[in-house]
Amino acid sequence: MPMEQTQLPAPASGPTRPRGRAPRGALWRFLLQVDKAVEAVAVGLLAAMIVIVFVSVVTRKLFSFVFFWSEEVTLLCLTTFSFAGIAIGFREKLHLSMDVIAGFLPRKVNWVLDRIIDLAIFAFGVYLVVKGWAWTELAHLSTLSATGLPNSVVYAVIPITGVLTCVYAALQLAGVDTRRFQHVDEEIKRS
Amino acid sequence: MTSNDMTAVWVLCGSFVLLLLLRFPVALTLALSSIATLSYMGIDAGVVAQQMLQGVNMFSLLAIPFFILTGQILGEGGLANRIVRFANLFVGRLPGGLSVVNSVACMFFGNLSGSAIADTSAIGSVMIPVMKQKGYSAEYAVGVTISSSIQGVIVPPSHNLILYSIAAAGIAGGLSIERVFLAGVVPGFLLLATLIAVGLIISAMRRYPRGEPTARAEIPGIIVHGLLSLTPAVIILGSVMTGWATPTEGGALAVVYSLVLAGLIYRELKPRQLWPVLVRTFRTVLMVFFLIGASQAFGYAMNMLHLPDLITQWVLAISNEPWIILLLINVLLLLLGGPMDMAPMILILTPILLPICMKLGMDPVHFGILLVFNAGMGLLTPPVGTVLFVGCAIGKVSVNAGTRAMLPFFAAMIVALLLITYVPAISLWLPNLVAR
Repeated sequence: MPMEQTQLPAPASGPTRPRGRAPRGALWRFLLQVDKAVEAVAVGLLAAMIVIVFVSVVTRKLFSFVFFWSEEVTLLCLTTFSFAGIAIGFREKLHLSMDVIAGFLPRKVNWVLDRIIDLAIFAFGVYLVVKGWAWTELAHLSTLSATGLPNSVVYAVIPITGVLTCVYAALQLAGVDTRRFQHVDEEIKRS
Repeated sequence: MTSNDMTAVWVLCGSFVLLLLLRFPVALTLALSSIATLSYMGIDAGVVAQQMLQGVNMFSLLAIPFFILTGQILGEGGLANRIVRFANLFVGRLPGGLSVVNSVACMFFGNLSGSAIADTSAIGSVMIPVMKQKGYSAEYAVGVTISSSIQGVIVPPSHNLILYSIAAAGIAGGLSIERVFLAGVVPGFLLLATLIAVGLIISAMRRYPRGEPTARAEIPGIIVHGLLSLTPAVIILGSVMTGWATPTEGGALAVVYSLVLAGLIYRELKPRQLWPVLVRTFRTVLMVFFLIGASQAFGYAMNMLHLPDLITQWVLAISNEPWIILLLINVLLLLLGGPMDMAPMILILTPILLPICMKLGMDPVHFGILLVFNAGMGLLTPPVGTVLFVGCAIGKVSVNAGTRAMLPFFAAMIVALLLITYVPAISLWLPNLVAR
C-alpha cells in the first residue's frame, strides 16, 4: 500500500470530500476536466452501444432494415470503451492482481513494490503511445468499409490510452491518490 | 524445439510467474510477458498492442456488459426481495425452509446477474438477517448463501460462459454459445439439488423451523412480480435458443426491459441512479476487457512458441488414463481457484487445458462447464475467496467460522463436480437434444 498520498478531488456529486491536499493551479484543473471527459465518454459509449444494438434489433425485426453503419460504429465504440477502461482501471487500481505473497512482506518492501509496479505501468503507457502511434499511422492508409472513416480512428485509441496511462502512473508515483470511483455505491444508495 | 525457442518459453513463463508473484496486475503481466518474449524472439513487439485491440474488437463481447448491466438495474430495482418471496412460495414450507429458499433464490438471482458476488450481496442482505431472526445460526446462513451463489456462474445466461466461448472459439474452431448455455442447465440443477439436500440434512439435524405460510391473497401478486423479474433471462435465452437474436442483441433487449420494469413500472430505479449504475457496470467490465485483450496477446506469444502443443505432450506423458488426467486438471483448477479470480482463470487456462482435453476426446462444451464450475468454487476458497469474504461481512461472522459452515456444502459441490467431470451426458445431453 502507498505510504503517504494526497487525493484527487472526488466528483462534486460525491458524498464525502477528500481529506488530503490536492494540487492546485490551472494545469491541474485542466487535467481534471480532461479526466472527467474521458470517464464520461467511456461510460457514455456503453449507453450508446445499448441504444445502437437495441435500435438495430427493432428495425431489423419490425422494418426489415438495418442501419449500414450500426455494427461498425458499435465495434468502434467497443474498442474505445475497452481501451479507456484500461487507463481508468490503472487510475482506480482496479485491475486484478494476486496478493498472496504481499501479506507476508514487510510494509517497506510492499511500498517499494508499489513504486516498481507504477514504473512498469508508466513504461507500458509509453509502449502503447509509441507502438500504438505506429499502428495508427499505418492504419490511416485504409478506410472502414461501411462508414468510410480512416481505419486510424480505430487504432488511435491505443496511443491515447498510453498517454492517459502515463499520466495516471506519474501521478501515483508522485503520491497522488487518483481513485474517483470509490463513492459510486454510496451515490446509488443515496439517490 | 531449438534451444532459442526453449529460452523464449522460459522468458514467457518465467516473467509471467515472477510478475504475478510481485502482484503486478494480471492483465499487465500477460501483456508485459508477451512483449518481452516477442522482443526476445526478434518479432516486433508492437504486435501485442495490435492483438490487444483485435481481442476486444468482437461484437459477441458486448453481451458481457449488457448482462452485467441488466443484473445491476434489476438489483437496484428491488429484484432480490421479489425473488426471495417468489422462491419462498414454492419451497418455504419445507423443513429448514429458509435454507432452501436461499438456495433457490440464489439460483434465480444468479441466473440474472451471472455474478456470485452480486448474488451473495443481494440475496445475502435479504436472507441472512431473516434466517438469523428465525433461529438459524449466522455461520450457517452465511455458509448456505455463499455456496448457493456459485450457481450464478454456471446457470445460463452467465457472462462467464460467454467469456469461455470467446476464449475457446479459436481452439475449438468456433463454439456455439447456444450449446454452451444449454450445457450449463443440468449441471446448474444438479448443483442446486446437492445444495438443497445438504441444507435439508443440516436443518433436520439442527431442527431449524419450517417457513411461514404465505397469505392466499398475496400469492397471485408474488407470482406475477416473480415472473416479471425473471423475464430478462427468458428474453436472453429465448432469443438465443430460437435464433431470433444473438446473445449481444438479447442482452440489449434485456437491458431495455429491465429499465422499463425497474424505472417505469416499479419506480425503484430513479433517473439519477442510472449514471452511477452505468459507472458501476463500467468498473466491473473494464478489468475483464483488459484481461481479454492481454490474453489474446499472450495466446499469440504462446502459439508462436507452439506452447499449447508442448504442454499437451507433457501432460499426456504423465498417464494414458483420461480419468487420471481429468482428476489432475480438477485438482489443479481447485488449487488455482484459491489465489486466482474467475476471469483470468478462464482466459489464461482455456488455451492451455482445452487442447489437452480435446486430445482426450472431451467435448469443448463439456470442458467449459468443468472449467467454469471449478473457477466458481475458487470464489469460496481463501486466500482470494471474494464471495467468502463478502458473505462473512454481511453475516458479521469471522472468515474461519464462515469457512467451517461452508465446508459441508463445498464437499457436496466436489461430488457434483466429479459427476460433471466423469458423466459427460450431464453437460451434453441437453445441448445434443436441442441444439444439434
